Amino acid sequence: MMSQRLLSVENLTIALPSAGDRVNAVEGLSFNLNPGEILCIVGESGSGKSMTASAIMGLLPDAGVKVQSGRILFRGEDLLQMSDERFRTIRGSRIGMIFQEPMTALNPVMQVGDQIEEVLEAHGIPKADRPGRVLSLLNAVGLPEPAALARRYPFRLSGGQRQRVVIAMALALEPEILIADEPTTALDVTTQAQILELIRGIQRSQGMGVIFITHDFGVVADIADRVAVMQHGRIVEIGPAREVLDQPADAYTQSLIRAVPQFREKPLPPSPEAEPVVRVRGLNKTYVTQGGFFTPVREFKALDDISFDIRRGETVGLVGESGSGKSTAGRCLVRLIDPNGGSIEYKNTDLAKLSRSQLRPFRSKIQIVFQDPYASLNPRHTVGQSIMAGPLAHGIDAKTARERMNRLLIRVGLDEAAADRFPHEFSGGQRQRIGIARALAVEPDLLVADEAVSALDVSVQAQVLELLRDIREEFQLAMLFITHDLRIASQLCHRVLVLHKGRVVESGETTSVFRNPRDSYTRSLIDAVPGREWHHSPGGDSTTRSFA
Amino acid sequence: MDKLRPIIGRLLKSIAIIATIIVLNFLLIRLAPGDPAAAMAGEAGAADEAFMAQLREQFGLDRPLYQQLAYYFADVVRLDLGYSYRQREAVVELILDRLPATLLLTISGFIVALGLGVLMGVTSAMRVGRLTDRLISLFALLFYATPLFWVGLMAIMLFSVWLGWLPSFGMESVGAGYAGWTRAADIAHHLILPAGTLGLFYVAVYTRLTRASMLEVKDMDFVRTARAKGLRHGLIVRRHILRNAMLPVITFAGIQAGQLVGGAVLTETVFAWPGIGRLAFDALLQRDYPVLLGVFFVTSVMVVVFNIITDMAYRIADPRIEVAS
Repeated sequence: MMSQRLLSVENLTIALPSAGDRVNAVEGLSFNLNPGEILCIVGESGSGKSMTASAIMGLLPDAGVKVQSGRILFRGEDLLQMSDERFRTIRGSRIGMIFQEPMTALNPVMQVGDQIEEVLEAHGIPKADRPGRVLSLLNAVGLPEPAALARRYPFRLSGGQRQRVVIAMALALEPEILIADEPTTALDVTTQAQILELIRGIQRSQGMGVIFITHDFGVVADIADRVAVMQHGRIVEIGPAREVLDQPADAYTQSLIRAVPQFREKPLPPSPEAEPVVRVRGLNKTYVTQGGFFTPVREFKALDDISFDIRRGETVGLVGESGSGKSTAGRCLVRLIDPNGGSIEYKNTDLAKLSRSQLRPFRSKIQIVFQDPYASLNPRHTVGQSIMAGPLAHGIDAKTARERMNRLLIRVGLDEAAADRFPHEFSGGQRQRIGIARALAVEPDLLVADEAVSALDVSVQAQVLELLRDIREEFQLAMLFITHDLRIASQLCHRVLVLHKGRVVESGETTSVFRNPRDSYTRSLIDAVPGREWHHSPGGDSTTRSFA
Repeated sequence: MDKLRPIIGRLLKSIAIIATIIVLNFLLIRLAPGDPAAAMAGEAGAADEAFMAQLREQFGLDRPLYQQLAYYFADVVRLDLGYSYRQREAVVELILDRLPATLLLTISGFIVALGLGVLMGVTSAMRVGRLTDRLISLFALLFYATPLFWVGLMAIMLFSVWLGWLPSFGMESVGAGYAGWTRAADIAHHLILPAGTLGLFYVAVYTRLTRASMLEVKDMDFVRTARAKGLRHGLIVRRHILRNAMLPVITFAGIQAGQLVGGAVLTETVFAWPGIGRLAFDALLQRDYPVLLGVFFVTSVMVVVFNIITDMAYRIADPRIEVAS
C-alpha cells in the first residue's frame, strides 16, 4: 500500500504571520494521492487550499508563512526535509504546477517558446533537443501553428492560449504529479471546458496524479475521482467524488453544494409594467486602430446592432464569452464608452446623442456595479465618502445624503459603523455590497451589473444574488445583468440576450432559451457549463434543480 | 520594414521639433536687449550711425523679419551657428572643440551611475531587510541628499589634497606632451574624480529605483511560475525579475541621457573640466549670445537624439510597447 502512494501529506500545519486573523493557514492536514487519480480540493477563499498546494511545491511566500509541523512524502521521501537543490530538481520535472491567473503567470517580456524551453534547460535536456520538444509540447496542448506561436510574447495570446502555454510548461517533462490551482477560474465557460478536457486527456494518457484545486462543484463533478472539502485550514470531508457530491455528510459541504447555482426550471413571473425604462435600438460600437503611414486602418466591431428594452422590476441578462461585447454594451448604456450609433431612449430622451454636460442630470438614473470589488472602490476614501459622493454631486444636502447612506448600508447587510472604515478592511463580498449601496445611493432607475458576482465564492455569490433580487423587488429596479455564467443568469434574469462577436444571436425568456436553444452558439455555451451531468436535489427546492 | 516604421515616424517628428527649436532660437536673439548691430559695433569699439547702418545692411538686419528668419534657418541647417566676436572664433569650432570633453565626462558618469546603481539596487533588493540592504540604502540616501558641488569639493579635499592620489582639475597634465596610450591613461586619471562625482548622485537614484522595482516584480505571478519550473535562483533573478524591473530604470536613464551634454555645468566648473557646460557658463557671464544660442541648439538636438535612442532601447526591452504606440 505504502509503495503505491504517490504523495502523502501527513499532519501538515502551516503557520500564518502573527498579524493574520487566524494562527494557522492549514492545520493538521492529512491526505494521500495515488497514481492516476484526480483529487479535487474544494473550498472557499481563505480555506487554505492554495496554501497547501504552495507547500507541496515549496513555493510558500517568504513573509512569515512557514511549515510548523508535518510531513509531505513524495514517493516516500519528505519534501520538507530535502535540500534546496534536490527539491529544485524535482520541481518542474517530477511535480508540475499550473496557476489561476493565466494573464500574469507568464513573463511579459519573454517569448513563450523560450519560457517553455527554460524548463527543459533547468532539468538538463541537451540544447539540441529542446526546440523540437517545445514545438511538440505546444502541439500537444492544442495550440495552432506552434512554430509561429513559440516566437510570440504572452500579450499576443488570449487567456485560454496562455493557460495552455502554462500547462505545456508544467507537463514538459511528464511529471508524476500535476498540481492545478484554480486553473480555469479566470476563464469563460467554453474555454474552461476545453482546458478541463485537455487536463483530463493528458492525465489519462500519462497516468499522472492530479491535485486539482477549485471552488466550483460543477468542475468537481466533471473531473474528480476523489474530493477533499476544506474549511478554515482543515479537511472537513474527504471521499470518492460521487459519494461526497450526492450524499455529503458534513454540514459545510452540504451548504457549499446548495450554493452552487443551477439552471432554473420555471420562468420568473414577468414584470407587470408595459412601458420600458430604457429602450435600446441598433447600438453600435466599432473600434478603429490608428493607421500609420504604412499600416491599413483596422476595424473591430465590438457591438453590432444591439436592441433591447428593460422594464421596471425586470432583469435582462447579457451572456456570452469574453470578447463577445457584453461589457462594452453595459458601458455604452452608462455612457462610460460612447457608442458610434444607435439610440438609448430613457424617458423620451436619447441618451446616446447627449453631450457630456447634457448627460450629467441623467447620470444618476443609470448606475453600474463592476466585477472587481477590489478595484472599483477608491482605496483612500472611506466607504461613507464613496457612497455619499454620488448624492452630493447631484446636489443633495449632506444631512440627507448621510441618512440615505446609513439606510443603504443597513439595507445591503452591513452596519452604519462601516461608513468610517476603508475598503481594504472588508472582504470581497462585503465590498461588492458596498458597491451596490454606492450605486443605489443616487436612486437609479436602471442598474447595470457587470459580472458583479463572478469574482466571489459560491456561498458569498448566492448571498449577493439574493441581495440583488431583493432590491430589484423593493425598488422596482430595471437591471441589466452581464455575466458569462449561464446558471447565474438563469437564476436572476427574466429574459436573456446571447451575445457572440458583438451580435445578438438569440434572445427571449430565460428558461426557454436555455432549455431549447435555437442557435448553435447558445447550445455550445450550455454544453460547456461544468457539472451538467451531475443530478442532485439538495434542499428539495424544485425551482433550482438541474434539468440537464 | 515593420520594425523601422516607428523609427521613421520618430525621425520625422524630431525634425519638426528641431525646426521649432531653431525658430525659438531666432526669436530669442530678437528678445535679447539691444540691437545686434549696436552690440557688434560695441564689440568693434566704434559706434557712429553710418557704421551701424552699414553693419545692418551687411548682416541683413534691415530686411523684414521673416527674411532674416529664412537666412538664419538656412545658416543653421548648414551648421553655421555664427561667430563669437569675444572669442574670435566660429561658434561651431568652439562647440566641436569642447563637445568631446563633455561627452567623455558625462558618458563615463552615466555608465558609472547606471552600472553601480543597478548592481547595488539588485544586491539591496535580494537582501531586503538585512544589513547589506540597510547600508546600501543609507549610502544611497546620503548621496541623493548631498549637493553635487559639495561632494566634488570634498572629493578634491580627500583624494587630491590629503591623499594626493588624483589630480584635482583639468583634463590632462599641462605641458606633459603625452601621446597615444600614455595620454589616454593620463586623461582617465583626470577623469576619475569628476566622473565619480557626477555619477554618485545618479548612482543613488538608480539604486533606489532598481531596488523598489525589483521588490515589486519579485512577488509577481510569473516569478512564482519560474520557481515552479525548477529554475536556479540566479537565473530567476536575471531573466525574470531583473529584466522586468529594468523597465522603469530605462525610462529614467532616458531622461538622464537627455541631459548628458548640458547637465554637467557644476561638475565642469568645480573640476575646471574644459567642456560645453563651462563654455555656456562663461558665455552667459560675458553675454556672448551666439555661443549661448549655439550651445542651446546643440544640447536640444542631443536631447532629441537621446530620446530616440531611449525609445528604441525601450522597444527592445519591452515588446508590448510596439502595440501601444
